[in-house]
Amino acid sequence: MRDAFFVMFSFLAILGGFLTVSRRSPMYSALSLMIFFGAVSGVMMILSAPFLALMQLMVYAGAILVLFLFVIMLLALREEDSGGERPWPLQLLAGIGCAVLFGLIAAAVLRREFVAWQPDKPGFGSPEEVGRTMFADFVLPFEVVSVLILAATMGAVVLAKKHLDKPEPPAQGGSTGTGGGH
Amino acid sequence: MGRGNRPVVKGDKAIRFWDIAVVIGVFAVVMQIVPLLVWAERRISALIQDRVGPNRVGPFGLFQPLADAIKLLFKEDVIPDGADRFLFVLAPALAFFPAAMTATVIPFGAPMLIGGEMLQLQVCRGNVGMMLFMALTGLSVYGIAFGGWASNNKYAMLGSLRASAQVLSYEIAMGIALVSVFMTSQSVDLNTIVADQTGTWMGFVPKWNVLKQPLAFVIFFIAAFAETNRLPFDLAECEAELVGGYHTEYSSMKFSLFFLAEYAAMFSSCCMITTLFLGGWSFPGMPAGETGKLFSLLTVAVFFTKVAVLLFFFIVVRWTLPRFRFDQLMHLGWKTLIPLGLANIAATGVAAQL
Amino acid sequence: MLTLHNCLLLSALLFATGVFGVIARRNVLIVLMSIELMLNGVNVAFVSFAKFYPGSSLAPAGHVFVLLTMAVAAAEAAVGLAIVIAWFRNRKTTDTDDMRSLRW
Repeated sequence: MRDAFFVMFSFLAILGGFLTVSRRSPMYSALSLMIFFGAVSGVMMILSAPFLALMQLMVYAGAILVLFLFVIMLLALREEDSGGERPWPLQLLAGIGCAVLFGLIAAAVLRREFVAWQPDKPGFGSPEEVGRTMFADFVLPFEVVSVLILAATMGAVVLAKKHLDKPEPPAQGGSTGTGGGH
Repeated sequence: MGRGNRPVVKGDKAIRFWDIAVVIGVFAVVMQIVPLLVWAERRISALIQDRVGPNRVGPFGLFQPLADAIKLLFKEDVIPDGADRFLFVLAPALAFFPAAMTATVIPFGAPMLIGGEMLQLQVCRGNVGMMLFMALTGLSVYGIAFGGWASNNKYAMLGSLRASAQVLSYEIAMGIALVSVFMTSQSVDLNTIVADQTGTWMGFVPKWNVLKQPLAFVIFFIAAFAETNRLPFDLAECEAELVGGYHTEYSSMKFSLFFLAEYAAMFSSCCMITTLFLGGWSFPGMPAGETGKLFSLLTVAVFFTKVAVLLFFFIVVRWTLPRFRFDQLMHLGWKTLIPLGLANIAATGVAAQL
Repeated sequence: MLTLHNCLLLSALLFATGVFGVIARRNVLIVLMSIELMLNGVNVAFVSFAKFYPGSSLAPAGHVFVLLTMAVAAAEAAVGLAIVIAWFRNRKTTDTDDMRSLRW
């Protein structure tokens, strides 16, 4: 049962990943990325990390991908804006390079012996335990990340604003320009 | 072992008949509450506008939603030229799925002792239910976003653009309001949050989170309006500006799936507000540790009474308040609700240390 | 089937797919999405190691790293997309090969 779900979610994740990098239209890439995020969330659920699995859905699928969709729609991308694709020999070369990368990692992984599946201790991966580890052993990284997010928020607002020196024109009902940085 | 040669893992219990009954029951409730809500919305709006409202089909017009459904089913299903057919067909399903799923995390009543075992009236048990609710709320925008984009219509696209920005912004406010509730109840488990709200002060004031965390309640409530795209925040489909918003091009059953999704989302939001802030299924003067079947059904009735009051409020607000402008909406979300929520978290933390 | 080997192979495959997207595609939005693919591949590796080598902890460091990765990914997406918006407003293109105004 567990194996079947693992195979299914892995297959979906791989399929979603391939579709994401191969679709021509960014909208279909975003749709594939949604499948991918959902499948990775399922894999995490099987690997006894229910909290992370749902955070994955919340942060990636619920926030980051919506941001992507928002930008795709805001820019009203047409086919001619995206430019052409690279010529196929270059793409083939890139594919071979990535296959070699995967082969190297796979060779390194397969040379090792690892422990087999074991049942979890009760409470493994629950929100309480993740929080306990995070605020006991990883307080400094947590604080650093908060500074990073603050910087990113300000950076995004500044970058996406239309005019920095002039005051914003009074926004009409349909204006969505100021929402871009969020 | 008795369960084959599989190792018994915690949480790997056999599925019982009554568990399946709970799943089917919750799904049936969600499916049945939606037509009832549509009827209630039309009757209450008629009351507010001093009209009669639908009263021909069945007693008090109760079968009106059935007639509506038949009408919608027999309408022509138009897919406009130039639309992206695949996404156009996919979008209503994507809108409906998260809205219908959300009710699974709600504990609808007190645990029931049935056949010698405790039965929880909740589909998704465990302590990550709240995260599932937030994740599904985030996912609910996909149907709107893809639907508006696939329609190849500028009004529909503007509607989805607004919806994605709005849901993204108000989900943050919602999450921040939740954190202070978690701090008060010291748990993320919905059952614990409900249990934390039982009991009374001075014998009659219930210990509900709405009294412990009034600011969080207000923020969550406003954010719930925005997340469900209800007036005063229905910028995604405001008929005065955008024809019909994201569902302008939709007809027949595809349109009604969007419609169903909106009402299902409204129902789940009201259930969540009840669970988090209004004591869930508990009521003041409740005997502790009771596990009888009748008592459990009584708590379910109490739960649905609270939800009905909230739904009534949702409907009245829709027919009373004018619509926000989009920049006002963004200002309210980013410059008022989020700072207030953060201040509330800080205040809760300080109060807990005193 | 569910062994650490397979989990790590899955993780590597997802990462390699992301690398391919970054190298081979010219649309900057898809390049950003491919970066998310790579980050997710790494997350799978973190979670699998946390599952198979938990030590004595109930939530090993891998779980916390995944949360930190998510925060970084969110910050990256916000800033990256803001840059895309600013770029598109000025140049009307999302082609990475046209982004060469800092090159001489």
